[in-house]
Amino acid sequence: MVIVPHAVPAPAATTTERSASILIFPKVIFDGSRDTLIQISNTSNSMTHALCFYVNAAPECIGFGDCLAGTCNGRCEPRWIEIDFSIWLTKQQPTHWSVGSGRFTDLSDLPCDPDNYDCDGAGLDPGRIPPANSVPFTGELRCIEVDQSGAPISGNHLKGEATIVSSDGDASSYNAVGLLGLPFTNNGDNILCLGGGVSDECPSGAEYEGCGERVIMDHFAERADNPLFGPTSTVRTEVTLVPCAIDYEHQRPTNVVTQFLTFNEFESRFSSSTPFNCWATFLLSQANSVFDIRALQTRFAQTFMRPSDMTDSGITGVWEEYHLLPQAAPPPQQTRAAFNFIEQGTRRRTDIIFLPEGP
Amino acid sequence: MWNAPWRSLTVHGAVLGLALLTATPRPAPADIASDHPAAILVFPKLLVDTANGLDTLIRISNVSDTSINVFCFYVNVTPQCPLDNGTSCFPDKATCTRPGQEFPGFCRPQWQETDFIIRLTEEQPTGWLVSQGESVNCAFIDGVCSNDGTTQCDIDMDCPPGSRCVQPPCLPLDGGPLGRTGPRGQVNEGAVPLSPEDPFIGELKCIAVDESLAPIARNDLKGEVLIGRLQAGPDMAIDAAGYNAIGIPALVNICQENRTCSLTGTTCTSNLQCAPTNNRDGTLVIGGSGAEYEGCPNILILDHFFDGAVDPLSNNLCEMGTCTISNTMCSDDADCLDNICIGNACSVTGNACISDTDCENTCGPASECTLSGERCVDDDDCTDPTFQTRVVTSLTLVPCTEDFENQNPSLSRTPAQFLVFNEFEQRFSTSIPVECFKEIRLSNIETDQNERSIFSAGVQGTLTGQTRIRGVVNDQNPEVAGRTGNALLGIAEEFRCGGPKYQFPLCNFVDDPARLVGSTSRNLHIQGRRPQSDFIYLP
Repeated sequence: MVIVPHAVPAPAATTTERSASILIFPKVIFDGSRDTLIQISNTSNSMTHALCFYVNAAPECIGFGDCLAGTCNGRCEPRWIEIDFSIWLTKQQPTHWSVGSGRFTDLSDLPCDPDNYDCDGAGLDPGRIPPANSVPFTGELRCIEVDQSGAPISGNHLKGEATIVSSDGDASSYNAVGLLGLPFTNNGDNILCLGGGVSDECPSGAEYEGCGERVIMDHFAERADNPLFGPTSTVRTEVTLVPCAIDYEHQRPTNVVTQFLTFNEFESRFSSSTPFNCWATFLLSQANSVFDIRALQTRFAQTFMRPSDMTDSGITGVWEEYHLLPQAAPPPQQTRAAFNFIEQGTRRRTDIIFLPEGP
Repeated sequence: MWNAPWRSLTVHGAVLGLALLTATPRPAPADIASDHPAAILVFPKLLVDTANGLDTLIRISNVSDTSINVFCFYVNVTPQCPLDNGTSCFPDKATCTRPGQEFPGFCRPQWQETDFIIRLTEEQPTGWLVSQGESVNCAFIDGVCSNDGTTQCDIDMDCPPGSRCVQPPCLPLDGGPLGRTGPRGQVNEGAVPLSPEDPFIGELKCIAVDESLAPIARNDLKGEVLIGRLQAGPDMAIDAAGYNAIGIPALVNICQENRTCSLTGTTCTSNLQCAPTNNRDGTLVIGGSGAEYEGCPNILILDHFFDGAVDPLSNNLCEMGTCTISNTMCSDDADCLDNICIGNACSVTGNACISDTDCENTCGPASECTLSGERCVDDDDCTDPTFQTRVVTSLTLVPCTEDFENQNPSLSRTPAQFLVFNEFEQRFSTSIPVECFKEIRLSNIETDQNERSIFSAGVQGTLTGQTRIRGVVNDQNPEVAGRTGNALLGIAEEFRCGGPKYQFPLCNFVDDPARLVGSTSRNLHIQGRRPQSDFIYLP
């Protein structure tokens, strides 16, 4: 009898469907044409506190002009500006805010009633939430469960969703990526240890589950058609990646080289890689030409992404599909859909989140 | 239906099961989730109505370097009208009518199962339209050129420069003397049938099996769904919403580094000494005692807008002479909010008009508002018909337990209990029976008057809420006790509807799609496990 070798990777430990102690919203956009609605809930029967960090990675023009509009006459450099704020949620309380507007404590917010369904701001305010610190804002949001004193805890009481709404009302949504806190090992200091073992920085070992070893997505080849919308339609896929490790204290950007392994429907294998710092969002066609339909040759493909061996952080993220259908007069009709990655395996190394120490 | 084993295939399945026992050590599998590969995939909601441009694209991949057979079951729940020549019951109408008949008929779901099997080669992705299916026939189907969508072609060279030949989805590794195989000689086999009917609403479950159709403990499948709507014609529009398939991982008893079996705790030196928990029969045990697969969740959690809430992010603004959401002509932002007469039609309400006066909602002679139909004494009682984008959420629930052998829906029947919290931390609850499938607007769960529902923003007072959903264990009925755990799985869809302020938003892919501004889907969060097992009974 022939034994077919079949090694099954270990399951990943991040979650997009369970309450967790760290929530990562990898793609947060406020750029004038799109805004992001953040929803966070406390799934426990006691009050929960969280410390949240926005990281604005929008490019800044070192010179004159606008980087997003392509009119910058100098260099475009990402801002990497971090701002943090705290929120608190009573038992089972949901809350929401828009990234562009934030949310302010306003006791005069009137609740909805049968004659008025416009009541943004009604409810128990979770604290003052700042609006995006600049326009455009493109980056991530990370929320960490803490106790009343601000020390990180492994409560696993938070869940979240993000909905990106464009000015024409089109929307796409994804679940926040959660990292489960581990019982007993969380020492409540400002160094959060994700996965791995005991080290100088992590004397009690992992305090949170680690990130996945790799993330997987099923996607359309770039510029392939979507059978839902006919042969003249095209699909573009935008991938957003963030490193699991981040240093808010020293503001050191995390450098990541991402390796891609892609299989088409013929089982043909393609590989490529792309580097990024801190946060990246890119169309697959911008990462490499192998993702184009002319190269992949089949409509559907499966891509495995992992950090390179020398990269000192795991990765997580989301991907968003742009479905386009040309019409008689431009622009084409467009609709978007976002998906969470599938994760596989658990990183053996520790990823660390350094929180700012404060005054 | 496949009643006989899939004998035409080369037999690898038996050895694949043994191969798993010799695989490298690994920790216990993850929970039920949509973010990890698994052995069972659940696609809770599929929609087809090609006459109205509605269809569903399913994508499935094998994430392993070994080919895998996938045994799938469509569950057709499209309600049927018992009256000859009665009106359509699609997708979830309660009643139907027939001309000349005074009394309505009551729409009845079918719970009809259709199964099929396909083989995916190593690391292979595939996808198909539910309305069209796919098979190993790429060499025999024509394509059309991507530049015009009508010119027939076989290869890219048949199309003008810059365009290419687009074929319908098919499984490309067809083998054979002139066919194509994978790098290691692997080929696709099997076919996905067309949806059982059109229009169609239902569910899909897919299970990793070997060639003899015996379930196999391989957590190598992942899937996604994209429900899309194409509105053709002068008001062309497209919309899509996607979600990940929910994965139920198989339990695998393996020898760990500490030389104990991961599930049984017995001592071992190799995986061969760890007895498999999956007996590979036609009864799949999901959680509980004797589990072969991870247990279904005890609670589902949904964060959502309360129905009817005004979307704080969707603003209908005037840009370059056109309103961004309603697409009507405008000269300033006020034109995009006010109900004004443009080309003999009111811009928000759509009724015929000669002047802007015809677009005002005033108290008519029969004490009824002219546009909204509200009862009134004077004009102040009539709601302003200004434009708003409001949100409504549809929830789809399917049972973990399904009996494909005896087609017994009573095993899946359970009350779903809902616990609702608003942003004031106030708690509400309600319930609804779920049989094989339930797709419903949140604000129709306990009433057909949406404005009066506890899921209505007007009742709750806040924009968003958190709802906890629990299938009640049916252990009082001796006929089903011990044969089902009554756990539920599901997804939610959020629809943004544009319309006048007085109109409660009821749009979705099927109902009132002209008012649909945008849609999005999401997987539900889960919490806990239950001690009872759920079961999938294979034919």
